[in-house]
Amino acid sequence: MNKLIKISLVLAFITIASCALPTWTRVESGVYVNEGNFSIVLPTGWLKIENIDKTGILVSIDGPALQSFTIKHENFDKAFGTTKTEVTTDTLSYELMEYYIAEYKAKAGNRVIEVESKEAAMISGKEGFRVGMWYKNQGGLRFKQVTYGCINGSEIYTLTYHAPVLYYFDKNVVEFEASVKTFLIL
Amino acid sequence: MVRLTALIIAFIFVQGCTQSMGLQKQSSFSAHDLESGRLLYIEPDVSVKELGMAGAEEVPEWTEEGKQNLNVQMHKYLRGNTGLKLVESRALSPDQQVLLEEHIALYSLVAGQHLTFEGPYSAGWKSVKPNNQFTLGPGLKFLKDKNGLDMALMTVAEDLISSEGRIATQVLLVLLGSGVQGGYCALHSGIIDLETGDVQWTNTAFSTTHTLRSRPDTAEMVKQLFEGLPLVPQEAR
Amino acid sequence: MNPVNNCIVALLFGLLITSCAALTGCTTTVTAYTADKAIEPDSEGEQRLWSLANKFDQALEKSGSLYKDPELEEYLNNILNKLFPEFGDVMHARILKAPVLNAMALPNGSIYLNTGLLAVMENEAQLATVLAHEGEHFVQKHSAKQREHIIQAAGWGTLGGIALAGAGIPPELASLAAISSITGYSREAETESDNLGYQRLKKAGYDVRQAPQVFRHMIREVEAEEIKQPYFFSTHPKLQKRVANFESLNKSDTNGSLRVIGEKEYLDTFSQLRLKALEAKLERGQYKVLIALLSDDAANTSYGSIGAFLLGESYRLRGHEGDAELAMKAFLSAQQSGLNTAGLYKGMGLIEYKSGHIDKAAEAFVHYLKLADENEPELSFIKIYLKKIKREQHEQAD
Repeated sequence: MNKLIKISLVLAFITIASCALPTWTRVESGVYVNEGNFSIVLPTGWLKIENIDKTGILVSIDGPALQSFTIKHENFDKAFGTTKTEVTTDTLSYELMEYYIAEYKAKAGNRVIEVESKEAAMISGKEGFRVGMWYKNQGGLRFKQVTYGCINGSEIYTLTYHAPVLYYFDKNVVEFEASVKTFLIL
Repeated sequence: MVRLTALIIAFIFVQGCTQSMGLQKQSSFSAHDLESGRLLYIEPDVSVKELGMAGAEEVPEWTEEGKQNLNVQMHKYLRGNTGLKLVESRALSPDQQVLLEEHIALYSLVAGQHLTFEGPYSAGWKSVKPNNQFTLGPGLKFLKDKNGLDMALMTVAEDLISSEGRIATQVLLVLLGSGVQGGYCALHSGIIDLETGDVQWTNTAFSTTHTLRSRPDTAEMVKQLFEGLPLVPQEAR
Repeated sequence: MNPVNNCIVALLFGLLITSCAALTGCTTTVTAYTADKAIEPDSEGEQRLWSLANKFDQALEKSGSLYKDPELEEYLNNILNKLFPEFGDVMHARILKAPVLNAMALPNGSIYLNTGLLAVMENEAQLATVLAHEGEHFVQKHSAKQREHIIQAAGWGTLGGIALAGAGIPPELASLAAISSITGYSREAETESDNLGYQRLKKAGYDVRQAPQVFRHMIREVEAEEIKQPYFFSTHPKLQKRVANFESLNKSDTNGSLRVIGEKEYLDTFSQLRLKALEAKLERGQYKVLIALLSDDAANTSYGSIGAFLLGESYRLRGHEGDAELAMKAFLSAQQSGLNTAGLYKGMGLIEYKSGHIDKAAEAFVHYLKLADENEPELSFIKIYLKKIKREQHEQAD
């Protein structure tokens, strides 16, 4: 009796959970359009999943713990909630990059974040930035990330590639950079 | 009364894993890959913590105890059941040690990611990784050069032991339909090709009742961890 | 309340009473270190804390979070030895790369001072106040005392919360009293460290009138960060009380002017670190804190022209109404003080550009390009803005 209830509880949980959560789907060749927000050509054969709050997608080939390509769009209040910076539509691309780095470092707490590169970039025809950063986790594993960002209306769009420095970052960053070039805000 | 009964049953479910849960196995690895029958033994990365009311606190003496138990049981099992010989590494320079530790941290991620691929939402992932290929990259070649061995055994273990106070609180919270995380012991072990970094074999043992502080518990978890390990051919032993 | 809930609450209270032993375990008496006995843990609990602290030291060493400068460390540890001569080399001070104003003492004698704290200290006497305070946390074994307290408080707080929740009362009230003393050290421990540390400051010959200033720095940071917490958790009234406590202790001290302040020695030793720490605050978006610090003329002078530049950057990035003018004023002040860096002209150019003063912006950006390293990646931004300005100027000319 106990075993039957145990199994039923587990099955019920899985059923409920799987109805509520988005699932991973394969990236097919061609342009991916996200709910009228943006379009992009993603690396074929990777897997993608939508964010629960519908602010974007996560794409990966080796699993998100090992490498992730995220596209996100958030309103300014949410994106800069830690530093409470007042970003506006008049914010320059250089300032946007400064605010993005500040928010990232503020969220990181005592973790030491090193900024490796900062440059201007065009994203979907808009002035934006490209920033490269790295840090070490508690286990001593180094992670690197590249983020592109720009403003669209009252939102900030970011495209980020994040992976351990050991092997995984260099492995697929080329696909990420190629995808970014095809990114279009609709 | 019905509700109370249901809650008590839920509590038993939460507390009731009295043995290791099913293991996640993966193998693209053949016994012939280990013709020498010798594996480089990388010292397990172990942490044993007390999970109290205020959170998890590592207990260095318990970690030492867990590490010793694990070392002894792993050597014993592998020697006695698989014919594999475990070889300790030659001394490493400080930079090499840092690099090795970073690869162990990466293996910990790989082992966790691998579990996702085997879980209930794995269908999509099986299509991109039909053979569950994972790698740590070629950065461990220095170990091969230093020790003259092709493969290494890498192990990561985390043991969270609930304090008495936390267990008492768990009981009470479950009766009210709430919950707080209980202790567990997770053991990941993998065989890594030192030339390429490819993870040739990896497995996980998990238990909510066993602890590395106990020799019998450790022996049982090690047994379940390595039960599926492809054996070395007789002539190579 | 229905009968089932009554049963649950009754069961809980019964279990609460019988669980006391499981939760609280053995209460241990913790005694302070004294110079006549070996400095080592007295109990299993203290041994565990000591081992954890050793591990923490090792983890920090590996993490890259330590600000490694042997000269600065030697300076800190010389002060520590002056304050605690009887404890020899048991205590050791190091610097942590962290922009918040904080310091901590571990149970094994390791003391960490954040770069954020060192950035705002103005002299050696203020630094000694912090070291004396943290050193007393170690000598009085406040970590061990706190640990016993947390284990008991967390357990009671949770169970108390459950019991009250079953009776319809929110759990927050029950756990509030239990948890409030977990924030930082307990008030008793902080007061003890303040008072005992004060005596050590005096004995070592430091000007104790500098002691309350340390907490005024903290108050300024708390106010600037607009830390809003319930009164129980608020550090603000606690800090005000500590300032008042020191001022009261100072009333009975008449020899303050004869003692060491050590302003020049401190500022000369820590000049680079202080500015780097302020830059780190800027990079983390702590604009309000920097404005509060650097717009105070008395405090600002110790940071020189770079301080004025950082003030300008803080106003520029905060971007409130009127901040553009204040930023420009600070930049001009930095320029008049002799600062001639690419960053200064970039800041001025960005302010002018955003304000629509394209001619002045162009002038500043051109100056920036002359001074900037040609490999600097930020050049790409300024080149884009200059191109746009030139296009606009061209259109205006037409």
